[in-house]
Amino acid sequence: MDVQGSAKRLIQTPGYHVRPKYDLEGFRRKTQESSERDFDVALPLTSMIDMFSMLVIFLLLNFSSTGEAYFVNKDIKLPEAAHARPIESLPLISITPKGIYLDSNNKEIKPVAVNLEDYVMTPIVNELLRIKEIQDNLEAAGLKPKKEINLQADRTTEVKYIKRVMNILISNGFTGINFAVREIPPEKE
Amino acid sequence: MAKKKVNIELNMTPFIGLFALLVVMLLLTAVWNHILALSTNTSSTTASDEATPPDPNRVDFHVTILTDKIELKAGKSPSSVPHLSGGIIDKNRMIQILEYWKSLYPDRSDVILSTSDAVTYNQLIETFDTLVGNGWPDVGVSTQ
Repeated sequence: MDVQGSAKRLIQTPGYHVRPKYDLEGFRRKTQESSERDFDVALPLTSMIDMFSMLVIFLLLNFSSTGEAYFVNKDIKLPEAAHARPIESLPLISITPKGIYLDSNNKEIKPVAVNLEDYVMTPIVNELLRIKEIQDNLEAAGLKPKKEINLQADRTTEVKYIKRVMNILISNGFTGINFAVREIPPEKE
Repeated sequence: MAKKKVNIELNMTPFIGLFALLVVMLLLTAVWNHILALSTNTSSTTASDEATPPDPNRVDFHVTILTDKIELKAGKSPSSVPHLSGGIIDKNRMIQILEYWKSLYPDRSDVILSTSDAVTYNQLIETFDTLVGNGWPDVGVSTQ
């Protein structure tokens, strides 16, 4: 305690003035401590790793090195087969209740649609001739293009529409026709 | 001597990074629809310009799907397999006949599949699949 002044006047430097009766010792200690604190935040990663493991296993089961050959039309529920072979990416004819569609991954072939009751299918015939022309050009260049067509239809479609389309394909030189089917799951066999 | 406390903690950060990349890659390459194909070559069921005279001794195999039955014909001897209730094809009986044909003609694998117009596509594929799976992979679908 610093004492200044004469002996007659004692000046004491004011110190901690809260009397012991009112002193909150713990609170005082906390406020006097450094304001920089270490926060230790540890995220619980166990459940995240568990989720990732499940996701990886599920996606590994659906992995395919060849990729998706084409997308099934949403109006079509394909029939199932157990002895089919992998499908290739080829021009596709879809027979749905709304009509008959021709589509191809080749950008030179434009997608066309005809009415289901159309016997002549002129737009489709025109695109088939275009496909044939492209195949002939590729053959002339020394390549060996696939001369097949994929065909998909709903399982309840009557065969007469299938036959109609097949006749159009055969008359335009496409004798190799692949019927798209869904693979039978192993437990159903 | 006091024992030292050893803190063993696996560093999960690279593990999570690997999994995240793996998930993204697998999502891009996942195939959700397992689509297959049953192939037919219609050249065997259509007339050609270079038609050769038919061999009188050759036995042709025909399978015809009708609305109430399936007719299987080898040469001149037909067999009929009525559908089960609900229009379901009797595959077991059909397989028996196909196996009988195979025993008589083991070197033959071609068959012509015909249908009536009212038959559904599902029945066509079911019959096609049964033929392919029982020793008759060369199926020609007739359009008549």
